[in-house]
Amino acid sequence: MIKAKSLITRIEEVVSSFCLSAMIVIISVQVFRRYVLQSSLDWSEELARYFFIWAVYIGCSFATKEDRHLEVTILRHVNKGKWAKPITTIAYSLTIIFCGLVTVWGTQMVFFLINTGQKTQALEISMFWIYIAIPLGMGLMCLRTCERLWLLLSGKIDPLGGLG
Amino acid sequence: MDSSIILIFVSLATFLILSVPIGIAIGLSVAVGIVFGGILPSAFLIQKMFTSLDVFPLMAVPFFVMAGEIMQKGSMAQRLLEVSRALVGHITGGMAHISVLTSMFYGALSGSSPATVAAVGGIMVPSMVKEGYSRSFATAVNTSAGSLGVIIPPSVPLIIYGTTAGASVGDLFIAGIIPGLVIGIFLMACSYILARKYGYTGSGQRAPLGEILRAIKNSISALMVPIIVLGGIYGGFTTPTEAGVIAVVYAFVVEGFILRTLTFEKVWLILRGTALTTSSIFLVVATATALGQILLFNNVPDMLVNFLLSISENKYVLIAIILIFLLIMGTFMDALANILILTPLLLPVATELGMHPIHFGIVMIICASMGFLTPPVGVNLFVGCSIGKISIEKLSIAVIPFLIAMFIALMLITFIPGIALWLPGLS
Repeated sequence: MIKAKSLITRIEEVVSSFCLSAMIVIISVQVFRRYVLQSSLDWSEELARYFFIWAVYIGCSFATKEDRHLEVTILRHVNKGKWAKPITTIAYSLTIIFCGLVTVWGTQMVFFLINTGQKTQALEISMFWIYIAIPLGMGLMCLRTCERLWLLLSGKIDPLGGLG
Repeated sequence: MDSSIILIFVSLATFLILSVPIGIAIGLSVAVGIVFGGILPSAFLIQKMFTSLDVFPLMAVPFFVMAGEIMQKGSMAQRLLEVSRALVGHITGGMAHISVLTSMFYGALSGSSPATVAAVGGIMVPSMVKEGYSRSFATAVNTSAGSLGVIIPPSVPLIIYGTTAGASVGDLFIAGIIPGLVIGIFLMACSYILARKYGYTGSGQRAPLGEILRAIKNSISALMVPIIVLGGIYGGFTTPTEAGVIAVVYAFVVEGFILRTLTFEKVWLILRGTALTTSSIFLVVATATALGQILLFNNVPDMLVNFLLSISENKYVLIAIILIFLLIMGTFMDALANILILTPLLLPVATELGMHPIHFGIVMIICASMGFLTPPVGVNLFVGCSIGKISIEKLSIAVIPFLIAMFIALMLITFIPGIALWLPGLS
């Protein structure tokens, strides 16, 4: 169904969808155990929350690729869309700056957590495994935004939406 | 006020207008405060981006989004429409009432407003036009009725409000039921008046009881969803997050094994769709929570309380000022960003005035849903004009009567707290 090459270019959607499915399975099992078997698990909720965080940050990059982030696009349409290209260029550049910053700050945080060896409450896995989703997701989003910026400047995408 | 706070607000407004994705714009303005204002260490932002999502009740959002996606791919909207047709098709302007009632049913399955417009309007607008309704009226009814998607529980904005305000999401869901019905009735009344003016008739004949029962039987699998979800919450058996996962499993079993509308390809599309919606919502949640925290550290909510109390002593005047402010912000800001940033600012004022946090949440969500219907930033309008094939200018004018109806309902719900608070037993 999904070939190896497209698996790499579609890595974000695969990871994000997998994490969402995992959340559903874990919480379903938790509900089943609590109401049917009357015995709760203590780690299931925490694990589901961490899959959720991974799903969100890796999915952010996917949302960039599909142009699905929430934006206020009034100014792009002003003056019959003549300013759309420069405005979108600025918006993409600012996005790249933020994602880059968070990638750097997030990586610092991850190294800090590796050094202090902080562990999660219930699962007792190292905290950095969860935090790493932030620089990883934002780093990928940075690359995806660079890709879109390139496509925009080379005229392959229309800043007013749709393919040019 | 601290100069770094002003710097944050100015840069936020600039980034937003430049069409930077909302979550990024908010995050970048916080980063500006960190780098140039020197207010907090960079670790603050990263920690907030983690802790703001590390919240169990928030996971209800992806679950209800996914349940909605599954049902959208299936045939539930069509089945619910048959129930509405049997119940209200005979009234003057029958098709408009069918649209509103179906949106109310659909709102009880879906937590999103534009999704409701797409699901119900996508079927109703073309058939209304075929039956001689004007394109602008048909589109306006469905665009406005879509607001019921977020007012009638489950509701994504109510979950976000609940976690931001520290209020019970379960209570909010239960509190949203009666206001949702009230707004639905006002939208129907508005459709009735307009239908008489334009001369749209109904089928004229009340459907026989047998037909109503048959329609209900055919859509029983869809009608069970709100009973399971809200029944579980109201009865105190499940939390909203658990109810969400039950809704997903239920929708999956019904559509996959009983109605057999799901294929592997559709499941993949549902997962993709859920991932996209979830990420686009929570990037905003993550960074807006960080911004809200900074405002709290700098006592901005207190300043706002003192400022508002200096304007007037009268409770009703102050509530009216807050309402107007929310409605104005709703026209040009995204609903989620509004809820996340304004809740920490306005909730202290509202509670100071004696409003219950649950009541204030319902009022805030109604204001936000009216914002969906007003340009320049109105998500329902965007969906509406693409399914109705009319311009956004035309549609913005056509929805005005419905906005007035919603405004009257909003006044009632705001100044009679019992409408929202009676059902959860808080009044």
